[in-house]
Amino acid sequence: MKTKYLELIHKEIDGIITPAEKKKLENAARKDPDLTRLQKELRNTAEILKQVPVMEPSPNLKKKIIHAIDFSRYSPRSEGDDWLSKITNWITTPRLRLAYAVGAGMVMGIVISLLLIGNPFSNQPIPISELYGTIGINENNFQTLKELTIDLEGIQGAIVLNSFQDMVWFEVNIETNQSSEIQFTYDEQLISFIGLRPIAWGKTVMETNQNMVKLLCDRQCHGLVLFHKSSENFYPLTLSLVQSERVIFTQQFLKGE
Amino acid sequence: MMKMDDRLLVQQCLKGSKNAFELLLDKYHKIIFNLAYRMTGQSDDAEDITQTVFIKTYDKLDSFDPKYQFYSWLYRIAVNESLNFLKAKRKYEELDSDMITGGKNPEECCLDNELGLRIQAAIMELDPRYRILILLNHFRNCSYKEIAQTLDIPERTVKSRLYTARQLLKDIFLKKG
Repeated sequence: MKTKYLELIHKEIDGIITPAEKKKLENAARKDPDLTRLQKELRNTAEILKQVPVMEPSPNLKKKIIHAIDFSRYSPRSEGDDWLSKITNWITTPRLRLAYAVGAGMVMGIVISLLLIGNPFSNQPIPISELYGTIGINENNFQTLKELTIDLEGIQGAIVLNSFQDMVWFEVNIETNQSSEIQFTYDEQLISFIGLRPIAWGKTVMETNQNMVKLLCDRQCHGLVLFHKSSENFYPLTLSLVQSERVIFTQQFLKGE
Repeated sequence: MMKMDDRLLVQQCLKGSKNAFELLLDKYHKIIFNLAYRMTGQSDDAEDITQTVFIKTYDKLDSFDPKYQFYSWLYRIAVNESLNFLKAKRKYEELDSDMITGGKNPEECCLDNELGLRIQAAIMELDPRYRILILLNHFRNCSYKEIAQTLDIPERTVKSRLYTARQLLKDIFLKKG
């Protein structure tokens, strides 16, 4: 029996035989009783298999299966978090961590800068109270030359002599229990009086002449008495405190003191 | 239910829908049970296999390739599970007459008829690798191509094995009268 006819029998059983093949098979079967018998037996086998009944599983099989499955594997939560986990996975990629660290450092630096110095992009003027620091001045020779503590009967306080470049000034800060007079005597060739800058000076009464300045002090006298020196040397200069036309204190400032 | 629906149900399962998997279970659990029963000849074993098949199917759902048919993928799991079961069982016992006739419970006895028992007994005499061809082709009406996909073998191998399986089964039927 030719194999090709056997194949045609199976194709017939499977319902995929073409009309031409079917005719060919029928012609061959007419001439070959063995082929006819085989064709019949295989057809019968296929028919028998069609009669196999469908088996019914036990009614609780489906329940058993459902109970045996862990449905948390694809829970809605993991679905909802899917995009989040993707982002998280991307963020936690090791090769990106250095970039994150640099970025985070830059952001933190900007935040700290804004907190400390304010927004540099703002046009708002900076309040004067927030300005502090040092402004450099050439030949900054500011110096305190003398500090006097005044502790006399009826008059207490301090007088400080300062010098800066071509200026000298006395910072007077005294209190008196009666009207007093502060006198400065100097060499007019070396020094000239600029003026009084009162800080807390009651009634300002001042008398000047070529080589002397007299300032009336009543109760509280706090202010700056400024002089201009024509050369580096302004000495000698004499400070006197007078009460009731009586000199109760005098101090002469000499170079080298 | 159309085949496309299976893919949608799988998608919904992967989104966490338990109901979607229950629908797949409704649709296929009897089919898989019957396949397992025809492979093993034992309803208890067939139920165990069916349960294992669906547990594995659910666990592997995220690896299912939608370009294939879901049932083809499911059958493949069921066939492998049945063959593994038979392989494991053969280590411990020889096939006996009880196994060949199916070891039936009373409910099955009521449902089955004489012819059914004889057919099942004949099928059980086939080597499992031929038996599965008969089951897929004659009981599930799978085409050669579908069987090839399910068993992961070439179509020409499907044909030759199927033809051999039919010849063997024919001989068994003739022998048993």
